[in-house]
Amino acid sequence: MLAAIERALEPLDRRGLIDAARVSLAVSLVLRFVPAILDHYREIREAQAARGLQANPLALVVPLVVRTLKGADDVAAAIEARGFPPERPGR
Amino acid sequence: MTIRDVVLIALFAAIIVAFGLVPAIPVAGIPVPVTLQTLGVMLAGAVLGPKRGAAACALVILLVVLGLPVLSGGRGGLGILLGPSGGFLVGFVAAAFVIGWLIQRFGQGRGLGWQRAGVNILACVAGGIGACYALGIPWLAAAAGLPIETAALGSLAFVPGDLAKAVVAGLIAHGVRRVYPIPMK
Repeated sequence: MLAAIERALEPLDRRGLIDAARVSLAVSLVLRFVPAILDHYREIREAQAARGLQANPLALVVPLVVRTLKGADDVAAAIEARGFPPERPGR
Repeated sequence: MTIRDVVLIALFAAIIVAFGLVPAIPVAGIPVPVTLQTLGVMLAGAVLGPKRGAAACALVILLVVLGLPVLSGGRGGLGILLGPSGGFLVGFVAAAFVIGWLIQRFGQGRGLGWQRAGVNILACVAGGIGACYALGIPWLAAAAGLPIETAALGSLAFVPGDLAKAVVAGLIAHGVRRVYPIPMK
């Protein structure tokens, strides 16, 4: 699927409008993160329910977003450690 | 744009998608199940900043175009983008950009905590309602063949929910920045 997206965006990439490799990376990251975020949500909700708190959108989403932001650094480091973005000839 | 930016954009796009799946959080006093996706859009703009926030929304639209069921209720596909409500979808990008720009411009100074929270809320109202509807209503009128006044009147039903979401998004963005500030871009 990623190869297909990269292929489809190739013409835009050649004109220097967008970076096809990064866009397809972002698409795959979204697909991978959605279940992770739902897990975070469930964990935070359970932790708060265990302390007897009612569902409160503010108290629920702030830790969710903070956790997500903190995870971003680890993910970025892991991606760079695997040699992304690939070197391309002619750039 | 560094890899970290790409990851942050993807994460917020995932938050927007996830808000479409989370069972509606019961908000006190409002019996209507509000879709939380616009809340995610406002958060993307308010936390990431104009460029990355807009990029996160554009990424969600790309997922819609690819045919993935990322919108609330499992909708998705190119038809949604070209249909009557497509303008609101495109408006997401504008909304996130406007919110991020306003907060970057006016919310960075010193000032008391409640003042900065107020700037966040006002930016979310201006961007999330103003910018989003400015694109969505003409599009709806054109796509559905309605006069523009009718389209505007029909959209009015969503304003109370969006106002509530803008206030919540502003408070969340303020809380997040207090706990874990990241530079806005």
